[in-house]
Amino acid sequence: MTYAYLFKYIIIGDTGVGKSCLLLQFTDKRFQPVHDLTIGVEFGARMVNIDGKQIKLQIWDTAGQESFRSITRSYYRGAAGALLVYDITRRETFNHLTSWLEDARQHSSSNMVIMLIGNKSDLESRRDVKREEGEAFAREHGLIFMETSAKTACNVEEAYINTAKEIYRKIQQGLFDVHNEANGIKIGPQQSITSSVGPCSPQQNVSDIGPDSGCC
Amino acid sequence: MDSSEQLRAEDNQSVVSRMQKNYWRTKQVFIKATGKKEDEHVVASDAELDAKLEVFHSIQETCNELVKIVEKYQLRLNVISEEENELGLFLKFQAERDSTQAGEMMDAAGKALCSSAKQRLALCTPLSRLKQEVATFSQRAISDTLVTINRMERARTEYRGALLWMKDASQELDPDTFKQMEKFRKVQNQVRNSKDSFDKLKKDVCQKVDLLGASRCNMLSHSLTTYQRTLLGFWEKTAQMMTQIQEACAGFHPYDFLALKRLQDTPGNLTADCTEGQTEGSCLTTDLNKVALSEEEEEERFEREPAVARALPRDSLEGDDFEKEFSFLNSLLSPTSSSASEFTQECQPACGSPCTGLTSQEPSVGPGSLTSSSQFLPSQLFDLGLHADGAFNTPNNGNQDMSAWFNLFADLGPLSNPDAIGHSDDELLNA
Repeated sequence: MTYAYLFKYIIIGDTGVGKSCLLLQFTDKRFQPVHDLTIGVEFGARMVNIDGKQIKLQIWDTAGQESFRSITRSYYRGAAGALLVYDITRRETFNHLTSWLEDARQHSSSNMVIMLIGNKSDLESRRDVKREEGEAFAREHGLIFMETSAKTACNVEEAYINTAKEIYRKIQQGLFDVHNEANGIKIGPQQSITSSVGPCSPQQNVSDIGPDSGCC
Repeated sequence: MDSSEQLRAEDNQSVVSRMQKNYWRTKQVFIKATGKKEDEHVVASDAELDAKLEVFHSIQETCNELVKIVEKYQLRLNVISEEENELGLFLKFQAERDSTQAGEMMDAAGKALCSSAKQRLALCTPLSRLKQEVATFSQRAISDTLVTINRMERARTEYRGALLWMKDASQELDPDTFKQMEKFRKVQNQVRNSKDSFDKLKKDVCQKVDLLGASRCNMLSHSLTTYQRTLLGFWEKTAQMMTQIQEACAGFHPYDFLALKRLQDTPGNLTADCTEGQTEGSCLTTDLNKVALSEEEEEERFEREPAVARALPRDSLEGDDFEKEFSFLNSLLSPTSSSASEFTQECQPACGSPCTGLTSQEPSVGPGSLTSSSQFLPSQLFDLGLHADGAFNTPNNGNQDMSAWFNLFADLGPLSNPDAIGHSDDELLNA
């Protein structure tokens, strides 16, 4: 399988907010209510299409427990995008966002795109953090914001794809040096082939994978 | 041949894995032993566990201290009980030799103290049980919890070592590189297994420490209730006994010192008291008491204040001389048996021994006149003089004695009737 670019994502946030469920829903399109605690890091990958370009998303799902905090700091290096996740039914996970954001800023490229995600939006009756609070936090810190539900798959694909679009936009603007792997972006084999062949490559006709809608 | 190589490869891999595992565990042991700064997040994640460990160490330490303190307390209870009993026995012993109200008081107090001493020893029974229960609790419950804690600490070291290993393996991690992923998966399994083991033991320790605290409260509550009941019972009984003694002795007259009264008395007053109608027995008892007090006072003053003692005998001597002169004059003027009896009683307080002699001779004499005659014998008069002289050694006393001697003979002038004297002799010969 060929791709134009590879974007490295890292999913961070407190333990139990739904990081692994977001990964599973995005890669396998299924929800698993009970699963083991993440040890260190787990990996997932999926292809998406951004503006006609095939992008491979390499996703690092990190452990949220405190004892893994120092280990997971190693995983920020080379990440182009980060999903910063909190649980709307547990205020302390929202309160800890500042600490996670500080880690992200300190251990990653300054151009890393950060998407703030308020997960478990299906549990409206147990909501503990208002949507407006999440929006305000994102606005204040220059983040993209979405509320999702890994269970109902609401906004899950949108979260990943919107982050990728933002990264791609920065590439177009020249903010990302695509030749420096430290930015978390690798040029795929297709890009090389495209360059050698020219703009008339027949692979432009690869089918687009559209996101499911109607969850909201 | 391929199969053989594969087996050999697996063995190598297994050995390498064990070596790596042991390496990182040893590194963690080294960090702990040297007191190096641990990963702050790893330490923070164990905050609850460490708090439980502090509770455990506190329970362990305080139980050990409690056993020691109870032991000391028991020893001191024994000592105070023994002293209390000895004091009680001493008071009872002294009470047997004292027939006054003070003796009664001492006897009652002595008995109360002995009883209190015995009851106090009863406190040792619940204290022994308390000490035994705390000791058993330490030997079993605390020791068992300590075993679990030690296992947990080994698992913690293993887990932290595995985390160090994973941190190292995470430095250049690339999910698209098979070799790196293979290594990472191996570490991940090690972390997962050691974490499962540690988490289980962590939970066990937290539960056991909670249970330990609760059971200690229950044990102390039960034992101390028994001790408290025994102690309050002991206090109540002792207070009751002391109250009864106080009530029984409420009417007792406080001890009076009557020494000063002796100095105020004069022979005139003494005679008046006797003649005022008091019975002879009562008068005698009073005189005896006064003699005793006088003697005690003289002894005390002689020991403490020699100067004062020197003056006292002179006063006493003067009193004695006056009495004797007066009594002799009485006898001469009215030689009756009644007069003789009074003389004897009056003479006793002044000088017991000579008076006793006279009293013993009285029955053998018989007639009153004969008695009077015997009193005037020169040998008896000479004895009285010697006795007086022996009692007091000072020259002044001797001079006064000579004066008294002359006064006695002054009454027998040459102008007196010789026939009376001869008559007395005849009566003596007849007897």
